[in-house]
Amino acid sequence: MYVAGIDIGSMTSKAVILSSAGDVLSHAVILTGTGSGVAQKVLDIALEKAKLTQDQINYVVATGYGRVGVPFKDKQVTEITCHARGVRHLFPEVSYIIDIGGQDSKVIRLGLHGEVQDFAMNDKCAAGTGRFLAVMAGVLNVGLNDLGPLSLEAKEPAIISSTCTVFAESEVVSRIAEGTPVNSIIAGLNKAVAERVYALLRTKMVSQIKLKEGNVVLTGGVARNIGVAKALEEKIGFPLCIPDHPQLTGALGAALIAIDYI
Amino acid sequence: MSQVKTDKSKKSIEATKLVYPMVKEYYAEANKVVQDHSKKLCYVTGAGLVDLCWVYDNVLPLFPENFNAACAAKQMTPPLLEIAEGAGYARELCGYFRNHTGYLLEGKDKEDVTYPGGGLPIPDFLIADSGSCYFHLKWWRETERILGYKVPCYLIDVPYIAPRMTLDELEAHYLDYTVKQIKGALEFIGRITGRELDKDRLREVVRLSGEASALFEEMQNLRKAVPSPMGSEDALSCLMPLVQWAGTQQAVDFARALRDEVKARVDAGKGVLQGKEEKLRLLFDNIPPWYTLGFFNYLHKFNAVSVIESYTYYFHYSRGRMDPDKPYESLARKYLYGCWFMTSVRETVHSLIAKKAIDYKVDGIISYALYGCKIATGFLPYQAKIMQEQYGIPTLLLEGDMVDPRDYADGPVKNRVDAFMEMLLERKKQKS
Repeated sequence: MYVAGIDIGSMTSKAVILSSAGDVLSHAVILTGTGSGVAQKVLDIALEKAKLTQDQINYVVATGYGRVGVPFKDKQVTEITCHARGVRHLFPEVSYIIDIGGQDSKVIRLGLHGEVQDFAMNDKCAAGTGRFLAVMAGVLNVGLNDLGPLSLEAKEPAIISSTCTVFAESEVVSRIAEGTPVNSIIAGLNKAVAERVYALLRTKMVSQIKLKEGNVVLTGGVARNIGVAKALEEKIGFPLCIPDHPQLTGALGAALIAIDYI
Repeated sequence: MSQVKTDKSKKSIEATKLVYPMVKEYYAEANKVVQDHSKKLCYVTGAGLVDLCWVYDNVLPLFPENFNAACAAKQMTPPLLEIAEGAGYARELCGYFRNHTGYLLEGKDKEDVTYPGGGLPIPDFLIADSGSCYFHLKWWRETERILGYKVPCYLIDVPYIAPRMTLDELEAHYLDYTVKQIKGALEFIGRITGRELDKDRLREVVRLSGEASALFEEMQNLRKAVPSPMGSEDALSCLMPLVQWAGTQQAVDFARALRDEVKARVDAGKGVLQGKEEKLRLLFDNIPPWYTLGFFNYLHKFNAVSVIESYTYYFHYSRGRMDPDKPYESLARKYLYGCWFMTSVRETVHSLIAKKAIDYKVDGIISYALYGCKIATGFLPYQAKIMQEQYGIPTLLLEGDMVDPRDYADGPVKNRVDAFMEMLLERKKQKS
């Protein structure tokens, strides 16, 4: 028997197919775009990779902002619960999850049994999210995937005082005009995101569960940006656990929940 | 009309259905008074000095705050907010203030718009106090300016209760300071109305104000029952009579009818969810989004009920101290209570929020952080931390405004609520 987890995010859509034993058979990530049918598309890619057909999938759990619109779902679960389940599966010692996605950033605190004890999400603005970095990459005319490596080349990060996407864009333009090296500007942007997310993390820290190496996991598309990860590690004081496929933890969690229903 | 997705609430309580007709009738009277000048119209602030107005039989107090909430409930605020913003008032200011200011500047003159109750008339005088909100004083001063300084204004400074005191142990000079100003306000109203102060009437107003509060408090205590007899979708709409008519027989009659109905529901075991299992009980904290009270009905799909609010506890002076034989001191204590409620965070987190959360057996708290209301919002993250760490009760912090639906994003709000409900159900499962 097989199950699928589908995570329809604001920027990317993800699918994970598992066997009933929990083995990962395939996964896929595509841009969400604006058209319809993205859930079917991402599932089809994952099915093809797993050499399965849709009628072999016994249960589908949908998550992410677009979960309501997944026509073939058996159940929908929020991304908070799914991320928690997915991350806990990969890192059994985790207590705090920092997830930076396209549209939101979130912090989740887990209990002893992996259950969600508390969470916080960023407010409505795009500051501290993947969208913020995507806009800035456009302004700087560099690839989104280059933001991490380029920032590591910077001698020191430029000061980007605002994390408001609109104001920060103006600030970046000013820094360019002043002749600040692009890699310093990028390092400054990564640092601004990290500081914002670190503040969110602090709101959900409890004295009973201290941050320590091995219990803090970074996920979401932005986890692939080594610059943001390093800046966050600098704030936190130790290396973060980052999954091999940090974008997929929501879909993985959804698929694991699907196993509970077969 | 608002272009933002919002939801109207569905009510369970019969008494709630009486409120809007009462309000409509009251506004109709106020608009009649504008024509026949039979009474003096006065703007007062919520939970403020309304009792003083009812001492004089030729005064009709009006609440811009209630008018703003009614505009929001009817999805009419965005054009008024835009007028205020167009005049240069920052969008970060109090939503009530912006809506009222937009109404005064241009909105009231728009003949093609039908406002709640036929509109808020221009007053003959203004009174306010700083008990519930320091910004009220600036708001009333600005109203005075917009009305061309033709409408006299009297403001009372209600002092912040320092941590060395409690509500039970106020230093005498705090009471003296407030009493002196209450007497000044009564003299001010007397001058405007041309009436002598009737001390028997003052005592009667204090008695009635206390009686309505006591009945409302009794009703609030009944809401501790499981299943919940009345959710926030009703309770919040039932505040208006208590706010508008505190000190009158009308408020007492309404509070009694409400108490009786809620009691009957408790006795019959009749819950909000109509026989469905009540899986989660919630406390709603702060001023609600008036334009989408259907938010509370949305919780029902998770078998969850918002069983109590911090906001409704503000208005009935729950400590039962209105003594007709000490009318000035009773009123002073009432207004000081308002200031204590809003600013004495160190005490209120434990004695109000935590106590309510425990007494009403809530599983979680939804706090609504208001962009424009710093006084009611600034301490919410601290409160959430205390509630989690010391009481083990989690808080969902939502953000927006009480009357500005443009700051409300239905999708993200419901996404957060969905996740919070999943989390609470899971936590409950783990506990059992």
